[in-house]
Amino acid sequence: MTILLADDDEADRLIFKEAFEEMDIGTSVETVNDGEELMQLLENSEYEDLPHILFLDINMPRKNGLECLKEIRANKKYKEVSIAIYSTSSSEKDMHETFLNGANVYINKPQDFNKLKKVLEKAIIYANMYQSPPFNKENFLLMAE
Amino acid sequence: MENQKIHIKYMVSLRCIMVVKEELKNLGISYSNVNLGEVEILGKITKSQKEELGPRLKKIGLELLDDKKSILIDKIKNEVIKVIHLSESAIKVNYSDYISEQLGYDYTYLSNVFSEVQGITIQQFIIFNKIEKVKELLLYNELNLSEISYLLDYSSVSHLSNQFKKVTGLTPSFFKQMKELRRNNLNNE
Repeated sequence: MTILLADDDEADRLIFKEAFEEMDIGTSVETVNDGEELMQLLENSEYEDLPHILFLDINMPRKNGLECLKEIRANKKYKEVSIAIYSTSSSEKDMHETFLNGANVYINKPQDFNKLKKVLEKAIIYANMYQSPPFNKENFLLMAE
Repeated sequence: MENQKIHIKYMVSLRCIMVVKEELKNLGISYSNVNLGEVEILGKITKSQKEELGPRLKKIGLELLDDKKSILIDKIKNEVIKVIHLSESAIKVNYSDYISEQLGYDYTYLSNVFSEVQGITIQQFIIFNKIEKVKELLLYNELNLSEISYLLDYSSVSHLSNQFKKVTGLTPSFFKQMKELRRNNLNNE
């Protein structure tokens, strides 16, 4: 499973990377520093090189997670890509908005590393299930906290 | 002739799918479908084709699963899917006994083989499938929650709701509401 993570905070990028690596469930992770970079990388990727799942920080400079989500969901090239949005606030408005705009996963990001690892693992296992029938990708909605 | 499925370990990306397809073409093996971890061969793969494919996959970091285990995983999945997704009437089954009986193997053995390749247990696979069926039924809008819980053999509506919440993080009613809003939202653009 290939993962692309967008977060402007270097410490957070490292923490996420470490959490994914410690899971040991065959994931490869790339990171970018903000939404602009993310969109550029996606645009330059061939269809078969697109990541399986994106993890986007909701708050980023230049282009935030929600803006990226809307752009990605408006483009057919990315229809197979699952999208997880995470935030440190437990704002119901944010959660509603991310789901309504086509996100698959909303993560209320825990501060504790072990909890974070568990939450991410859940998202990955779930995304993996939706790669094959009888799971219908349309139904992939998950709130992880 | 019936199609044959083979399983490949460590397939993690769409790029892997392309590479596997290329290898199959090179060996003249026709396929109908290549998914992550799973290839559906048109007809049967011969022993010599398999002996050639194995090392080629190994070179690119993939591993062809041996026949016996591959077939077992497939059968386990099919039994679960058959019971949950294809039953017309209410489901009343003890899954471990049922799977063990159908396949003629000790359940612990099956469970170990399954987890080793799939990364989740058979029980988790069953729960995921049940929740998926619940989602489908919720969206059809024909049955209410207590009818759905009876159909899928939950002891109560609250048992179903709790499991749904535990797996997805959402309540069944929120899921339904969200899907309807989302459908409208995405259609309007």
